[in-house]
Amino acid sequence: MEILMMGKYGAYVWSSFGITAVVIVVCVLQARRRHKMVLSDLKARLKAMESE
Amino acid sequence: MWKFLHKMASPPHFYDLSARMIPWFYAAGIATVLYGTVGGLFFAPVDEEMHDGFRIIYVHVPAAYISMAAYMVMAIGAGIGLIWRIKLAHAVAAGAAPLGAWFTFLALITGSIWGRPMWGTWWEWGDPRLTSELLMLFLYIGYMALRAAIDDTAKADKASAVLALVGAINVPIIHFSVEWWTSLHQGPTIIKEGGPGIHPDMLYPLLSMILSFTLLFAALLLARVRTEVLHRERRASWVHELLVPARETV
Repeated sequence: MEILMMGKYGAYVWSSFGITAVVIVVCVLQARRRHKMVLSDLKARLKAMESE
Repeated sequence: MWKFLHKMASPPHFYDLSARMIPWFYAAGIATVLYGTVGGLFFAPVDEEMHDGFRIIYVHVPAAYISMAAYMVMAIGAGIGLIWRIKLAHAVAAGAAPLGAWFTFLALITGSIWGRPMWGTWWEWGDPRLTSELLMLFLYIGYMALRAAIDDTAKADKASAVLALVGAINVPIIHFSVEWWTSLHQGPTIIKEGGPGIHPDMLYPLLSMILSFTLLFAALLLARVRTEVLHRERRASWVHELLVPARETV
C-alpha cells in the first residue's frame, strides 16, 4: 500500500497518469467517431445520388 | 524510396495501407506503455531531490516531446502542401493539429501538477517555457478554428498552412527557452553533455514511454489522416467502389 501512496506525492503522480490515460483514450474515441461520421455521411450521399 | 513515397501519396493506396499499419502501431504502443508505466512507477529508484514526485516525468516528458513533434509534422506537412501542392500533405497537417493540441494540453496539465509540489505553484505567468508551450496550444486551436471557418478545402489548406509555418518559430523557442532565459523549469534530462544524468532503471522506462507515445501518436495520426483522405476524396471513384463493392460484381 505504501508504494502506491508514494509519500506525499501519490495524488500528484496518480492524477498525472490518470489524466494522461483519459486524454489518450479520448483521442482514440474522437478519431473513431470522426471516421464513422465521414463514412455515414458518404453513404447517405451515395444513396441520394442513386435515388436521383 | 521515391517510388514508395509516390505510392504512399496516392490516396487509395494510403487508405488501404494505413488500415493495415494502425493495429501494429497500437499494439507496440500499448506494450511499451505497459513496460514504461510499471517500470517508472514501481521499479525506478526514488529521486534524491524530488522523491516519488519525479515519477510524473514518465508522462510529462513524452507528452511535451510529442506536443512539439506534432507541431513539426503539421508545419512540414503544411509546407510540403504549399510548395508541391500535395493534398495528402495538407491532410497530414490537418490530422496532426487536434492530436498536437491534446498532447500540449497534457504537457501543460502534468507540468502544472508537477510544479505544485516542486515549485509551490501550479502556474507561473511569464515563465518562458510555460508561456511558449501555452502559446503553442493557442496556435493549434487557431489553426483548427481557421480551417473550420473556411468551407473551401483548398483555401482552408492554404490559409492554415501559412499560420502553421509562421507559428513554427515557436517550436525552437520552447526547446531552448530554458537555456536562453532563466526559467523555473529544469534543463534537459536525457540529451545533454556527458550523457543522460539518471540511473538506467529510471532511464529505460522513460525511453520506453517516449517510444510508446511516438507509436500511439503515429497510430492516431494515421487514423486521422485516413478519415481526412476519405472526406477529401468523397467524389472519387475509388471511394464509391469502396463503399459499394457488392454492386460492382453484380
